[in-house]
Amino acid sequence: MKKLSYIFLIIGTLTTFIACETEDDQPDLGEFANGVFVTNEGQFNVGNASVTHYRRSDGQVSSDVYTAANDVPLGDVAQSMTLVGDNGYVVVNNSGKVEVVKWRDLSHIGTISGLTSPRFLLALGNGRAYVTDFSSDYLAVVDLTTNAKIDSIMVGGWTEEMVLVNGSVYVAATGTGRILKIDPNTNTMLAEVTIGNEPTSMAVDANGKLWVVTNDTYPADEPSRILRLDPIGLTVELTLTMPTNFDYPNDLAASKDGQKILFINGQVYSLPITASALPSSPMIDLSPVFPYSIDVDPVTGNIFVGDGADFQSNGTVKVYNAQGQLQGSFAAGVIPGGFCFTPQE
Amino acid sequence: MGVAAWCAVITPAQAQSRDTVRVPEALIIGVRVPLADRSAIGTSVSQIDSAILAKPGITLNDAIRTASVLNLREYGPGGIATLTMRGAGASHTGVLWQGMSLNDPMLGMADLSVLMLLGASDVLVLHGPAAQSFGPGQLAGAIDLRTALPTDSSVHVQAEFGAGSFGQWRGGAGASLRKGRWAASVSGAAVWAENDFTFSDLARIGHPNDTMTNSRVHQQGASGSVAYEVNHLNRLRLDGLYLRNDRQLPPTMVSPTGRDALFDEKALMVLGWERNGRRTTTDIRTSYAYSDQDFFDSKADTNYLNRSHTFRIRAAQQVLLGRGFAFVARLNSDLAWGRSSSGYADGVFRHMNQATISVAHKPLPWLSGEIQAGVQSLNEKVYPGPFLIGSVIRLLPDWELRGNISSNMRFPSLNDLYWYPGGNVALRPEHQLAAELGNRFDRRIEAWRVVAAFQLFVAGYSDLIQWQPGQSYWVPENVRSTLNKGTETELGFDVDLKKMKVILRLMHQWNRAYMDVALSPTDPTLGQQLIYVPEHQAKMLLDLEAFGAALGADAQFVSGRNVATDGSSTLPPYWLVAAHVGYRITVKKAHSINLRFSLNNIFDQQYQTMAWRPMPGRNWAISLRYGFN
Repeated sequence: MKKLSYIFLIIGTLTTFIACETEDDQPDLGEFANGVFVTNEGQFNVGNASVTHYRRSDGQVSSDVYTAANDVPLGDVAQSMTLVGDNGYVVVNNSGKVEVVKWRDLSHIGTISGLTSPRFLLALGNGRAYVTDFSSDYLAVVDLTTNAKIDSIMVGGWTEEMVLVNGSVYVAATGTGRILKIDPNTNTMLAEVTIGNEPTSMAVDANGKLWVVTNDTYPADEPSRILRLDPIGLTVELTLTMPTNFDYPNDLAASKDGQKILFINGQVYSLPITASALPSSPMIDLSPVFPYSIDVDPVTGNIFVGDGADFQSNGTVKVYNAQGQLQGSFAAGVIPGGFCFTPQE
Repeated sequence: MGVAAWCAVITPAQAQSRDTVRVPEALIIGVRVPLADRSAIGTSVSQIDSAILAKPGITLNDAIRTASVLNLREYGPGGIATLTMRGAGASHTGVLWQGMSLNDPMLGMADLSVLMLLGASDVLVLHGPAAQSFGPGQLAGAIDLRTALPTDSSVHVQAEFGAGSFGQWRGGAGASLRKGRWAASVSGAAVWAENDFTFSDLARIGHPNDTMTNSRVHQQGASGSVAYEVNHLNRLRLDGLYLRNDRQLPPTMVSPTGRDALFDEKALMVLGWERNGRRTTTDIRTSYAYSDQDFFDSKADTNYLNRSHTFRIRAAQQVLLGRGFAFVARLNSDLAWGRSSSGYADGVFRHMNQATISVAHKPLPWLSGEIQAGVQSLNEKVYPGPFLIGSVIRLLPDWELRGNISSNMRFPSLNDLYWYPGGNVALRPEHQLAAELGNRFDRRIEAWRVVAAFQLFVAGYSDLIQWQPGQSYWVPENVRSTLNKGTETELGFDVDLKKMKVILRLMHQWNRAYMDVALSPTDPTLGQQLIYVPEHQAKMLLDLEAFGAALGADAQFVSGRNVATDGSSTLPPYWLVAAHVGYRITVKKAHSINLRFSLNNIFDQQYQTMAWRPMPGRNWAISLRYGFN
């Protein structure tokens, strides 16, 4: 029981988002086009994960759309969602699976199983994808045509977010404190850099630089940091150290123009990519609420902020414009932790 | 009956051999209760009939599920099971053995699936403030498993063997005897269960049938009690309990790949001295409890070790002052040490004390009352309370009214205080202010008995501890306030003739328990029923026995329950119906053989008591018991 609580604490404090990508232009957009899917984690071990859809044009909100479309629950802890072509891939962490859906209507078309504790899926552009894992020493390689795990890459422990830059995949190897550079065509490690602590979240700025946040599950020996890396040589160009061990930055997201890096450290902060010091005041202050997740809409540049409330009841998503002014809010499911944006019509 | 409840029961043949009955004013039951365990006047104590506990094959969870107003939350067969009362949580509900707490000091609650009846002849249900005498913590009430030792000079021996669906096997034996000033009882039992039942998988498209995996249980337990009458005033007693449970934790429908496991080992030793003088009564008991819980997390491939040692002293002194006055002083002291490999590897201490004095008065034959006040402490901090004022008015010889107003508190668990990260040593105790009013009609006419009881209760909880998401990790805070109110209704009808017995019980509980203070202006949880608290529970139990043959049935209804605090996800209501037949052969009055066959969940209901944890459908069990008197 205590370990369950502990895992819950860990999962509860790890903020999740992923920049979803769309590989192909889709002329015939369906019900859920022009909007955002919110993956609601649900309570750990309770199985009330869900997906909420918010339509940009009129603000219409559809709750629990996966269950409505398929008449089954999504599972336990919906971690992230990624779009690849016509399909959506919903990573359900504590169910050890990725549900594959037609993203226009969320109808189920398959399940990728054989995963331990999956976190994020990144499409490689070659019909395959990588899936990171909380409890595995391996990065899973899955075939998106057969929806099967076909290979694995030894990475030595817990992995979190990934990005694809200039044909290489960069993986936050949280458990070993490294950033890995992998060739997606050969599944071989090209380079790695040890940055210490626990890197979790990554973003890419307008200059193609890689931003990484490191933290620990608890303020321990060293403070958390935000780093900028040159992805080619995997060299650290800038290190911004948090003022205290009690600062816990997470959830990096690049602004639409790539000129700012947004992150959560209690509240939402904005960091110009040219800055040499951390911002002193938040861009968005929800006090006394602690936001749980953020992401930036690649179409509008709006900032979506998830509020987990008491983490046992439905949460809220607040929408801000790029300047941090509140545009509106909508009800989400339990613990809104991830955002996945669908294409503009 | 769920397979999880296969905690085998061996009750030595002692139901007919009770200690001298000495019924305190507040109790309406026929069980001898030592002074330290007596509840205050005006509170409510009921009993799960010893005749129900003595049935072959019955388990503690069966008895609670079918014959009490308590709410059992079962995490699936073999999984964890917690007990709740009156809308409060498992950490507010005490599980006692011979009056000593089995609640884990690290979590603050007890896992009922580990506990076996093991010679317990009576299960007392202490409603709300009736559990106040047992120290801080049991705000919602408690159950107390008691073992009565024989009063006659014969030997009683019993052995039982059983089997059932889903690879269930169990066996056990017990004996009790009295010789001169000595009385003793011993029992032991073991259970094996595969729990590989089939269920409809509601989490998969098309809801196909699945077979439960990773749910094997191996359980053993033993208990012993020995008492010595030093003289007509003084009595010593030693009780011991050992429980061991090695089990796989079944996966949920939404997380089907889980292969976790849990190993529990618990031991409790209680040493007591009672002195029953003409004007004074003394009861002093001390206990040592050991608990080991090792959780294997299959995903992390790691074993997490949790161990605790708890020393307790419970002492009570009563002085009869004359003119209907009595004075009682009590002390409950609890020193707990715990070590968790994942939360506090170096070990932590908690020291709780409670001292109370009470004055009881019976000015008239039909009127009695009690006032109780005390102080409590957690480590170095002292708090006023508990307080209680209660009264009983006997309207007729068989009909009484009772009521009380009380205040009590629960201290944080070791995890709440010291868990790393997050543990909060600045936590305040949870507070409860409660009132209840009830009446009970209990008439016996020769072999016939009719019981009717109705209680109305209301309890306000404040400073409830809840783990809250913080900036970087979760922290327990005193944030919640709830209001719990409801009714408990029980109707009973017994016939005990020479060749025929009838037991009929009808029970209902209505419980509205909700957040009554908003945490924010738009708090969606305000007014919502607390999670996993059914608003209605109804139970029926019927046992017929004639000329050695037995026939019976029980049914229970549990209404829908919230799973999320804002009511956005719920579990549906369910009905369960079970039936049993049996036959008893007695040879030369000394030997008896009792065979019982039960069919549970007759209508094959697919139901859950906890979300996405399937419970068994229709299943059977057979038990054979041999007894020698």
